[in-house]
Amino acid sequence: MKEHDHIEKLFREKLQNLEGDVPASAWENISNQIAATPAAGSAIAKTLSGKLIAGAGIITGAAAIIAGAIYFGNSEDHTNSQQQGTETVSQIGSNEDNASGLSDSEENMAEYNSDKTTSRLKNNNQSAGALQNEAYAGSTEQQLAEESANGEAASSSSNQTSSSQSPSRYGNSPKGPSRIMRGVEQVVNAGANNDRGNAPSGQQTTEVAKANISADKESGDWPLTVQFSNLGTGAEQLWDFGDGEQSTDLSPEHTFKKPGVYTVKLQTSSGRSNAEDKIQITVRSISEIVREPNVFTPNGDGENDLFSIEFKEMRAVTVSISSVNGELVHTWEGPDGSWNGMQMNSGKLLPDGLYYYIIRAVGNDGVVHNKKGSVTLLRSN
Amino acid sequence: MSDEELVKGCLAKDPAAQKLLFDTYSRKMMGVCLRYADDADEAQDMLQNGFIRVFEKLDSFKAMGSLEGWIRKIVVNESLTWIRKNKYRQNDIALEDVKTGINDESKKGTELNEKDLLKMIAKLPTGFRTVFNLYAIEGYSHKEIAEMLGITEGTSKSQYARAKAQLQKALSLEYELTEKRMA
Repeated sequence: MKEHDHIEKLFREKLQNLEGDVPASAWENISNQIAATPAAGSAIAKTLSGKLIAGAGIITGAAAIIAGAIYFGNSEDHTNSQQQGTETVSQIGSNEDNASGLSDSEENMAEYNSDKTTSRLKNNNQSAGALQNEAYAGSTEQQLAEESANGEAASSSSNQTSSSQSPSRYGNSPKGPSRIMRGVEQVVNAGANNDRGNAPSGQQTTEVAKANISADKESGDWPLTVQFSNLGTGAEQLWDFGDGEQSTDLSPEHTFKKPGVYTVKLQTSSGRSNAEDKIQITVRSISEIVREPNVFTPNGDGENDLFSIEFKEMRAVTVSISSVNGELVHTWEGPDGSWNGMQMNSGKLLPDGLYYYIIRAVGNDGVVHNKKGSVTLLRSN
Repeated sequence: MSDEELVKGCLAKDPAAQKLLFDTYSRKMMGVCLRYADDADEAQDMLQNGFIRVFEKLDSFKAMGSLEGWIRKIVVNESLTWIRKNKYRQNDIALEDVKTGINDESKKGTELNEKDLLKMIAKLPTGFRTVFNLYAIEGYSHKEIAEMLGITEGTSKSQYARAKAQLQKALSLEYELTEKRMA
């Protein structure tokens, strides 16, 4: 997964604000089609049309200039930016339209024309992002104000609405840099009707949420500390580590306190755009029962005279040994205990034969080991 | 001219307003369509359908919302519809030389330009491409994509993974070629 992450980013950055040449025939085809439907509200049409045509003239002019900037501007850095990246396309969040049945993430797009500004703003967004909650319910004006204060785009973002080629934006700066292609998409969703003060809700500074978990390791021995980060984007992150703990940090470091397989979930949101990703983290236990001999020879020759069990990283051990009849013959506590073949390790020799043992042990890592086995007592040989 | 006025004009079937709306957003929407299409001709089809739909539906546009976002959703949706209608009965053939309708831009070192990336996307099989676009670029979740395309979430995920793998391959190849050229 990791080695592919940059692909997503690369394509998103380069193509999200892609523009393409539109053949002249496209409009002909469309206008023929829509002309077939009868006009309504012709009174409005009359009052507006003069204005519209005038506006269209200006805009066409502006568009031509912009187009020039697009064609020639992209091969160079946008160092000619007089506007220092203050050009922002602002969008107003649409709350209700379901016309196309799609979700709203499409809306969270706008462009910045300056790479530098973009990355800076992005950072700001992310830091401010922790403030954003339940974006659908609308973030507060305060948040917008705060983010605006952070982002350089603020000055223009709140006052300009969606029309991306409105003459007011370009009329004054005909040499304005190309506004497409380069920028990472970011959204400044200004409040409705251009007016921050009057817009009660729905003001968000967001980008399209994208969840893409990166972890510096996906498995390891207990105790495992993993550094997580989101390679995607999101104003707000909620990490669920699968062990009952959560974090809203951008790139949390988390220590798993018990061995196991954890599904770590990241939910990220920006405005109304949500994304989720999961990753599995395996924390290996370090405590184990290393060796259980199946025979011992307590005959005093110095070899194999004791039955003991080798443990690793155990903090509590109880071993009990019983005869085949179920009679308890010995028990010990602690990882270093042993059995010498006598009843309770004292005096009475127990006969050769098979004995059963039960191990109950708790590792330093909290893992409980319960194990049964058998051992043969063999004195005569 | 605010969007609101523009929309009003279009609703009144004012041809100038309609043309203005189209001129304002068509280049961007063409960019969207190009990502979903095999080539520029298909993209134009999608774009036309998209805008026809936009004009049909304009009365349901709420002035509170972003006009561009609204248009974009419709255009994406119409692109998907177009693909459903026209593509799924055909074999997915990777096109070698795609007429993209995008202007050539100079390469900066080894950096790939939009056209290169678009070409790579265009070479993906339709299903892969659609899922990749929706997930990586539009930012939909696999769940949403599954609903939109009528596939399972698992299919969306696996198509996405495969699309990514294919793009990875194309990218490595491209970088190799670039290095050779530079050497």
